[in-house]
Amino acid sequence: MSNRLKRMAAGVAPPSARAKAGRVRVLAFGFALAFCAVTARVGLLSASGLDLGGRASTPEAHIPQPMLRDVNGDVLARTLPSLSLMADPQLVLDPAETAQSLATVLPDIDVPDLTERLSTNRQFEWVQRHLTPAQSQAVHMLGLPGLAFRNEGKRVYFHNQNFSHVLGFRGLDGEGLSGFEAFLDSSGLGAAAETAGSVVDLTLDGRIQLVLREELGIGIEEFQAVSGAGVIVDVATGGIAALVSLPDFNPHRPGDPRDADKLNLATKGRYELGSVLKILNSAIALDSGVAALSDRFDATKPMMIDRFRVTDYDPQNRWLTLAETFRYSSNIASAQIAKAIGTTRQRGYFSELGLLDPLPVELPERRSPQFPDPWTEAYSLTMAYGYGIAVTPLHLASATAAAIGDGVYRPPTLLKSVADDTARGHRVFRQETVDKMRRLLRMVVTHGTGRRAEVAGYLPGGKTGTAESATGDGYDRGRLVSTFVSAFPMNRPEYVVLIMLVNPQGNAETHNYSTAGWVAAPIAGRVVTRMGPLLGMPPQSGEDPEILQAMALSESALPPEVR
Amino acid sequence: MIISRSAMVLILACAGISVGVVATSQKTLGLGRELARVQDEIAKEREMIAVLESEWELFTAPPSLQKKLSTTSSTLAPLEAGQIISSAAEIPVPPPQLLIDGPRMTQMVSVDGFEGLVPVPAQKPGIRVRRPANFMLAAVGQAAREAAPTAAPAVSTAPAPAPMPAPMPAPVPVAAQPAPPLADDDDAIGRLLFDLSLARDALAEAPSE
Repeated sequence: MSNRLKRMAAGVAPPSARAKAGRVRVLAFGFALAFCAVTARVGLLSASGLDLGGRASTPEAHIPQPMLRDVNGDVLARTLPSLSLMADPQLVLDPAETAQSLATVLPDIDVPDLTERLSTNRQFEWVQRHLTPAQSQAVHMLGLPGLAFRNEGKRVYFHNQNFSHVLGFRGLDGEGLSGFEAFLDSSGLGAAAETAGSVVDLTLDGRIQLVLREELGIGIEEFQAVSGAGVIVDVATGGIAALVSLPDFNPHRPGDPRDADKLNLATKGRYELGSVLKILNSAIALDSGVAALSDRFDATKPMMIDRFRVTDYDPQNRWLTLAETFRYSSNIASAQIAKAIGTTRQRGYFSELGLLDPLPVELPERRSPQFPDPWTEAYSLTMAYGYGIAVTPLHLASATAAAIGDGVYRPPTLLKSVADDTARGHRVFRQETVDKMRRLLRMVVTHGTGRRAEVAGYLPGGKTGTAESATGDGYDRGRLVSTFVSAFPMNRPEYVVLIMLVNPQGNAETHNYSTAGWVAAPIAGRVVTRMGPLLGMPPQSGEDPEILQAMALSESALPPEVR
Repeated sequence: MIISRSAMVLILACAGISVGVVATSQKTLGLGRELARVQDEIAKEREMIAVLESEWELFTAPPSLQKKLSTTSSTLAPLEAGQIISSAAEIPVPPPQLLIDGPRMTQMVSVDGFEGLVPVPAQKPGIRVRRPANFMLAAVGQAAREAAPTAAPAVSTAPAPAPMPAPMPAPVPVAAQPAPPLADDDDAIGRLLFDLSLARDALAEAPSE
């Protein structure tokens, strides 16, 4: 080869016929090779599925925003396509005129500000985000140079404010900023859902949420409370059917995330809830066998714990049975019961009931309970009637569900897939204990402080709790937290309904009382009244012998007026 | 002829293949464009569906429904426990004879200022009227009653008027029955009502869960 080249360069001896034939052969071989290469390339291209046009993929960070559905399959939140208007200031001819004419179709525009921003040397400026189709059409018709639209997603909450705390909201760029939306982003659940149909099914029920928020709102207004919270938990699954915290906000226009109305009191508010903790105190006593319903405890005189004097709101000044302690909500007798239970056992049960840890609920707004360390006997006695330990309302609702449901504690959840897992949770109470607790709670509504929660047909039961708010150096009698924890129907509880009002004021109708029995119990009653028919629950007669039997307490345990 | 035959064959083969390749690649490009167009269309349709679904959600979400209800002068109120029936046995079914008895075919009604006799719905369409629906139609009813015996065989293909089929316990003399197992259509209604009352009794006796 190199010899031939040298010869050609030197202009010597023309190539022979044989050499010519060789060259053609080489040429033919070269063409064949080239064709083969082309064929191979075409084959490769068609095999690799080259994107031959169509939509250009967006390079910026993509935030998965799955559709959120409630337990009935109704859509709670969904991302809809929307157009945002942007500008390239370098291409804008006359910033002032552009801003002026845009303001004619987009009334929210601040003309001087936009003029200034369009006068810069930058290449990108947002003009307005999330235009309506009519607005974008109008802008299009203006025919201004230097403007362009970008496809974005706009999160829509079909139930407006009803779910603002629990679902939260998303920012302008689609990032979850609070509630379940923020959890979707941070946990990677949103990304996981995207591969599975981009739908997340929740345990929430839009209808129940509406009822709860409405009735709680009416209650807050009626009693001029500062705020309030409501939680409804499905006893059988631990799923949260409704969760409301008032005041709330509009998720479409959330405003400043630091506002007070952004605080989800039901999961982030921490309170000493008072007598409602007697539900757990009684259940622990019954379950651990330290007391039976008819065992008596000394409530003859106020009890001294260190320097504190424990008194009763409705003093009976005699020995009370456990059932009576529950009925009269005796602090003294409850402390006596806690003494019998003992600190270690009490702490063990509290821990099993999830009262010592932040709840594993799918929300970023969680709060660790506050409890004393070391867990001294003095504190354990005050905890019996709900002081010394501060938990969120959701903590209490879930623990109550275990005490009246089937004895199994199921951490609260918003995810239907989690709630559907029947093997979830761990047993805390025996069935026998649960059975007795149902009777006790029912008695409070039929004969005790919860009478205003009675609803014909749905046999609610419950326990009132009125706690004084802790201030820096003690408790403020004027600032109450009134809570009513109820469940219905009490012969086979399906839902726990918790209503809490912060700093309610009594009125003429309640004889100026702002205790839970007067302010919180009626709200729970109204919620149950509306909820039962909504869920198609058949009403039951309280006079039915079978139900009377199921709700009966033994004579020896009962308060005299109930016997 | 400088080029050998084999080389010629090779070149021709390559040319043929290349023509095929070009044609295929053009076709592929065309199909690719078509695919992109269809995909675009699907995406647009999906967006449209999402928007329509969202509109539906917006209209049917409980808060919007309630808002609409509050703006209309509706007298609807939340359901209460007492309005729910927990078992079919609670449904009040009137005794059969009250409905088929002649005088009950009309009823004195007073609604919104209107007062008068109105016919009580008794027969389904398609069933021949053998008895006056109200007293205004008494004459027509009479004519129908007279025409009935001749008309009946024409419709019925049964060889003979057989005794009452179940659930009547036994064919008893017609006149003795207060809830009359008459003939034809009246029987159909009577039977239906009788069935209903039987079902109701059965439900009432059934052990509750």
